Amino acid sequence: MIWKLAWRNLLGGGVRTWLNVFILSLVLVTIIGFHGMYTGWQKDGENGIINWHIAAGQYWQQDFDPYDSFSFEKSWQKMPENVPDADAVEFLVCQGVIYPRGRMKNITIKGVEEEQSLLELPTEILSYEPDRYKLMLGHRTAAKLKLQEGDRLMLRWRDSSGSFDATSFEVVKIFISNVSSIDQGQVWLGITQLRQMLGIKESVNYFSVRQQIAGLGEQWQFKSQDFLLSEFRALISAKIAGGMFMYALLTFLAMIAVFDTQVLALFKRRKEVGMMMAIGMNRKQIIRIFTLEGFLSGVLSVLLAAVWGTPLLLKFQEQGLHMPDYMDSYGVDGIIDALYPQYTVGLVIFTVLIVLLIMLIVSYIPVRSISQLLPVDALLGRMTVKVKRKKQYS
Amino acid sequence: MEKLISIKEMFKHYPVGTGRFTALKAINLQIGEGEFSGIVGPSGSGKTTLLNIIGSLDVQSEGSVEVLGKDVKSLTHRQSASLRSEHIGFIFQTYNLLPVYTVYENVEFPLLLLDYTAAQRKQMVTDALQWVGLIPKLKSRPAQLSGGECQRVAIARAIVKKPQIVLADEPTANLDAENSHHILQTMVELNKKLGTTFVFSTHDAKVIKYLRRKITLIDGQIAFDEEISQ
Repeated sequence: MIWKLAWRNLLGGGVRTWLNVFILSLVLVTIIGFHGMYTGWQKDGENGIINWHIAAGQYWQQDFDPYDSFSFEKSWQKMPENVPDADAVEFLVCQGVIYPRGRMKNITIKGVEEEQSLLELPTEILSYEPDRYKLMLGHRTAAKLKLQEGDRLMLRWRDSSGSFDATSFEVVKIFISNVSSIDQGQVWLGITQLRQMLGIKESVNYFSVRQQIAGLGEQWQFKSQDFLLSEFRALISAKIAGGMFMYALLTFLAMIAVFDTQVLALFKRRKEVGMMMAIGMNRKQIIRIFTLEGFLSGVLSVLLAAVWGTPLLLKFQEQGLHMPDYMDSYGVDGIIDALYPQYTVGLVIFTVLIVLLIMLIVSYIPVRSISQLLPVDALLGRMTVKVKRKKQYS
Repeated sequence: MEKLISIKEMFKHYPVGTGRFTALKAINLQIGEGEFSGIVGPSGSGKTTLLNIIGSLDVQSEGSVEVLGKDVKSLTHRQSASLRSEHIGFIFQTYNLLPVYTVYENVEFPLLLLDYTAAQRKQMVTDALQWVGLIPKLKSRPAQLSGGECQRVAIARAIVKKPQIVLADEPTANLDAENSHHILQTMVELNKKLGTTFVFSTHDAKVIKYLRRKITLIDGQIAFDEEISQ
């Protein structure tokens, strides 16, 4: 009975109902859309980092710290023998200086195993040729240094005996990747070439693996995907936290708008409430009917959001949200030129539940007050007179 | 005749500033089953207040009021709602119809609070609309009806559940003579056919003409209580 009455009242509300429903559907689609962007960013970023650099995880030489350049030389160590070649990609790291167009810039030189199929990094192009010094770099670094494929630049390094040496390299490849952490401030060489330049044999600082390998000893520490993705995830979490503030603000504003409309509507309908009391509805039934009315408008808003929001959000997902050019230079993983939102079932369900909960709350609060009026006061449209007799009207 | 309403030494006070205003004084009244009675008197004499207390929409300050054997003041909110829902029908001066409902839905509303099946409800609503002659308008909304038709919907809503008591507060105040006459005729017929007790609050001569018992209220006190032979 209550459902039937609430539904009748809701549909009879006309413009007021549809205004509420539209505002809520707007909030719903906006929250799902924005959150979907962060989810898409996170997934694209994580996939990129995994596919381009870390695979199933990495083994770091125990002294290696990617943020401490002093650790690079200390952590050169021979690759363990029990690692199948097809299951690992070796990396060797040292410091260097490049001189693009006569300018000087400190850089991290990374040597990578040329013959590998584990990562998307186009390493084959760096295959060793004795008389040809080849390097590869990411599109962000290339843009900053104003370098193009085929350009030459001087690279200086310090070998294992402490001597400085320099030679001219050819830029053989500028790769485009959404993983900024393999691009910014670094150049890539074939590991054979780099070992020769440094005067070391078979050494690496770390290697990426297809799966975790047991028995490598304490000198090689396994860094899981979770560990290696933790910084990126922390960045996304910070962005999401900022976004949450916006959602909360948006939701709060919608809540106030709907609350206001509900209060005004109930004020206008107080005689109707009095009539319902006169006919024999008790306080609980009145609260239920009006709260349900609000809840059903939440349900309608979900349906409306599904009607206009689904095609819009799917279009965004397909075409992506194009970012301005300067975004790429910020060096954030996961974005090249566009963000491709991804909407999870959990996100949609959570947002829908939040909207329904809000509607329940903003509908319940005003009707709770109005239901406490004496029937005779409600019939006369008086709003200020509260419960007078505790026993009968409590 | 069984007494449906029994009022003894009843007072109703309202707080006014630091003092109080007494709207009803020492009311003693008994109304029996099947009566067609009216509380008459000038504006401000306390008619509506008395009717509201009988209908358990309000409560007295002193004395006792029993409706269908129940002490109105001792009822909980839920019991009071249940009394109104099951046994009392209201007709208001301003109709108080639900604007978003059709005529049919307005009349059906009180039945939704009671345990009737959909088929029973349909039959009862159809009967009530037939009594008041509104079958052709059952899909109309209140805004599409005349004042007389709205009041007839209110009557149908009040009688659809076949209550023992119908309380009508100035039911003809907004109606012209022809509509008033038609509505009062309808109520007289229902009173005869269903045996429903009607209690009016009015100062309209057109209504008074139809009453079989006239209770005159002046300044909150019963001045006269007289049977009228038709």
